[in-house]
Amino acid sequence: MVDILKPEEMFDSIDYSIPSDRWQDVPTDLTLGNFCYPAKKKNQEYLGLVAKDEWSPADDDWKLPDNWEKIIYEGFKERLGKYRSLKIFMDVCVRCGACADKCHFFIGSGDPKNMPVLRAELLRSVYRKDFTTAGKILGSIAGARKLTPTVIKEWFSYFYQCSECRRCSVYCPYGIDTAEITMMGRELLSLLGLNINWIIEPVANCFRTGNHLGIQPHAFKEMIEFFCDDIEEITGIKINPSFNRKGAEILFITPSGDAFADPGTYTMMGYLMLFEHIGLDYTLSTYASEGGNFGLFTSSEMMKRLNGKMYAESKRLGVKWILGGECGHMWRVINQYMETMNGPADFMEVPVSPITGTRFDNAASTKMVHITEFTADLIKNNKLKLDPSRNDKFKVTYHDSCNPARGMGLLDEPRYVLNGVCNNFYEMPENTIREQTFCCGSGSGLNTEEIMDLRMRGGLPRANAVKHVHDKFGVNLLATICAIDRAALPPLMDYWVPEVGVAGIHELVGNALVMDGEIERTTDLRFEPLNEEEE
Amino acid sequence: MYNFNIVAQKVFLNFVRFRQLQQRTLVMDLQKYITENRQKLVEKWIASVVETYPADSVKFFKNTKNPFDNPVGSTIKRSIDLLFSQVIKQKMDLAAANEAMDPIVRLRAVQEFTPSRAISFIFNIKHLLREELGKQLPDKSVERFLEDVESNVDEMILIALDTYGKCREKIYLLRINQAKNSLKKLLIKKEIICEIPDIDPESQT
Repeated sequence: MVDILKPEEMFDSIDYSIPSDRWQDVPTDLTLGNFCYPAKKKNQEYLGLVAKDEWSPADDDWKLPDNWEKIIYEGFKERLGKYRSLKIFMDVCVRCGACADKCHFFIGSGDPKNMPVLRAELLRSVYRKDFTTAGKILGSIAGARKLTPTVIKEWFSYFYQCSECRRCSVYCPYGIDTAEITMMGRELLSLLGLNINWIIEPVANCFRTGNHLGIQPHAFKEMIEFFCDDIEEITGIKINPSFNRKGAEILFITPSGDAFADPGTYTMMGYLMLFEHIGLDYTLSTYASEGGNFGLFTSSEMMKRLNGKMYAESKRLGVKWILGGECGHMWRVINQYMETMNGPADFMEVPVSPITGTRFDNAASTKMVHITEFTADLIKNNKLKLDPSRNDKFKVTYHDSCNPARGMGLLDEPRYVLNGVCNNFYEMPENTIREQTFCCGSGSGLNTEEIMDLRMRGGLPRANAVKHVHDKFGVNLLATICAIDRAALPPLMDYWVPEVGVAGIHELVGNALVMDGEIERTTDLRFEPLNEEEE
Repeated sequence: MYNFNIVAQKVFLNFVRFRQLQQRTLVMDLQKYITENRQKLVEKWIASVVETYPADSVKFFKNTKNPFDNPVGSTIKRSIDLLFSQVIKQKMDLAAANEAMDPIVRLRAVQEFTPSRAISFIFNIKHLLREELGKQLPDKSVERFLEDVESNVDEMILIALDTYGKCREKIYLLRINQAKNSLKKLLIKKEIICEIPDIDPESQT
């Protein structure tokens, strides 16, 4: 929270001088390193998006189509008609400034156009000019401005410098969802073929092979079997998960990052061990092999198309409900959009845990339960044998991933699980966790290497809070429940707090889980000694 | 002649003592001045750093006191405070200066500054002290003090340059590793490549 200043301090802090430059006149920096690489033509074409010949944001001329102004105008008009929320968000802001200093990109960079209010103003100013009477007549006096190619460049720069984390929305007295403004900005840019490859390639891959990474069915199966070999080596227990099995009770879907990217792979091992231990009747799908949905970062249409796949597969397999893994934005899609987008999923049943009998009424419409809700319920009902001392070498803190925290209110279950599986858990400062959590700095498709500087400064507020608990309590592990976090936080920690590692919660569950008939464990899931002394 | 020499020697020694006393008083004045005005001087240096950011952000970086809401401002404040303690020393503690420099340069290395702008804030203390002390205590001891400050500033610039280089190197490593890690693990797992296995020390003996 901002400290309350004393009256004299407040007066001293007022800057009466007129800023030397109007924000409209400050040029956007689009030199190499300050933007994400644009989408490849083949990926755009594959998805039926506007395909643009090779271009770079660093070019002076972006070679926009001849009728680009009309395209944006029509696109804007269509969206204002379609989404009442957008119309309200455009009109209602009173510029109170409550959001201004809440964005991690602003906090880390000091760039005023990263204040959520000003980022939204990039769109609002054009809205006023084209869609409000005052703006049409009074122009800049009413805060309106004409749409020019420079404005388009500014949109591209700043709507791809917002990770749609929605921290600012928590503070907005009107509840303006700035992430939705960013989403609309990105949709409008997409109408001109201005997408970024780090998002569009996963979307295209997802369309073709069922997951962001383009893993083909046989490779997906082999990877899971590879993890099972590792689990056998560590625990002596052989697991044989089923794939695409019709008639299974539950379909388990997790981000494909858990199958192919460390440290997510260890989280995947944790899931498999847990399911084996409780004898869950579940199956994995090589088609719905992705929980993440980069469509959310592209357009509502794309999000719907990708989300639909999970439900089509559940219908085909005839499962009763879906259990979802540790993913971030998947849960925002499910919790906030699924019902009106692809749902309600009436062909399935309201999820009931076959082990505890708990009925998850919160998932009555979506039929999809978050793995930490499921595991927390198992622990609560004493269904798991756990030895938290196996995680004693870790001093753990928890990063609330933005989307599960703010997008679905999942705050206590992950903590409950962590407290069940490890003995040393420490919270970061209050204003950096739960609904006030800071983004990893790389969400919404921004975890690409070409903008590493931006990611480091955007992730600074999170890293700064981790550093605090590291210095104060000796925290050496940052637990999280999002695949993007598991990919983005290791380099962030490496830069700001190199002593702290990153893990998914179910990796720690896997470490602590005492499975029936297991051999004595000497290593954790990473094949590292269980205790520091043994190292 | 002999007497004259003794008298001259005494006069000279007295003069030297007087000068020493005078110098000591002035040095004490200088120390006292620095101690009494430390906060003001540090704040001025901090302000000069914060002003390198866009005008609309200056107020936020200056006034938001919670370090978790304002990591940039609080990092700058902490680093500058520690650097100030070093820069005014006759002999700077290099290890302490290094430690104080790391957070602020690590921060500015990933913000939108050119390399020179990222570390140029260090020079500000030179002008600031010269201006402040020049006004208050125009004396030779001040000159000597400022000479020390300037050589400390030179040393600090070198430290900052090393830190900056280290940080940038880290960023490029992170970029390379992001690509390399995912690819290599995949190739090993798919048994497309096979690394030399780790040597078991027991089997060697």
